[in-house]
Amino acid sequence: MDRNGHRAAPGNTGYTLIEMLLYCALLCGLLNLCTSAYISTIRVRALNDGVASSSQSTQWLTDDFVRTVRAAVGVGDAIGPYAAGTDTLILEVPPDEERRHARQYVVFARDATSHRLFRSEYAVAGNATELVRSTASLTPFKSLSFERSNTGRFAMRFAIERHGRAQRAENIHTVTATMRVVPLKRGV
Amino acid sequence: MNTQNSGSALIIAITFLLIVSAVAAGALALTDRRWSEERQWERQVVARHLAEAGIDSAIARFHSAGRFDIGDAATALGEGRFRVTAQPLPASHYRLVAIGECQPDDIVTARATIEAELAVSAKTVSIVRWEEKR
Repeated sequence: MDRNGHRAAPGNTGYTLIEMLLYCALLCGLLNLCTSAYISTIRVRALNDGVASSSQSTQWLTDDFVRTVRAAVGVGDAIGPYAAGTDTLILEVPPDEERRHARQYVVFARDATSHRLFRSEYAVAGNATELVRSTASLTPFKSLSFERSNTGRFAMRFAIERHGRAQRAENIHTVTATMRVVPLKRGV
Repeated sequence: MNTQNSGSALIIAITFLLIVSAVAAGALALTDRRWSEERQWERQVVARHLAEAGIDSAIARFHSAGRFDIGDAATALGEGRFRVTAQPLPASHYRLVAIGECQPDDIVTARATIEAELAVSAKTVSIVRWEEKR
């Protein structure tokens, strides 16, 4: 029996206000911790999925870049709307079977509007320049630059654009390749 | 007031906090390790591309000069460098060993070795064998 005349449960006289406040504060802290841990896990999972997806995309891109450079026979200065520069690479490749009298070029360039990497092929016969085919990467690129040497060695550096809140520093990918012949250099 | 029961909420809360912290730290460490593995795999790919570039560079030299004259000097390219050595074999064959090293900050973080055998004639250079060494 307490001083107000209420009967207390045997062995339990209840909690003081301080204990209850402390309990509430701890409970709030724990709930906050659990919620943020859960949200972080979901975010990291999404980030990992994004990285895995961009890895697949870059794998395709790097393989294609290496294949193209290996097969290339020369380097171009300009073709169609493109001019070679730090963000545009123009390579002369052996022509397709049906265009064996033309000179064929492959352009790697990042589109300024969509930020996607375009791989365009042009055929030049006489004064006529024809766009043979053009493909674009699925993912947009944050940056793209090329390093080249006169001896046919190339390095391509790029970063994939990420959506959402990135938790890590920008991941710059580098892929290198060398031509299997000494490069021809002629204006287009 | 029962003094034997007064601190149980605090103890339970602290125990729960410790368990949640341990799980969170474990998850974080696991994620970080996976991330590091991914980065290392990527560096390994960069090193492999450099080694392949070394072999291709040697092929270009054979095409242009009919012989390999790069020597053992390292060639810097992109995020690293490659080094190629050539050993003549009978019947105009050459055994090439290219080592690609990924070194983004002057520290070698990954290394790949590719061994190839070329058959060199007056007009053509063909690859007889291509093997990535582990």
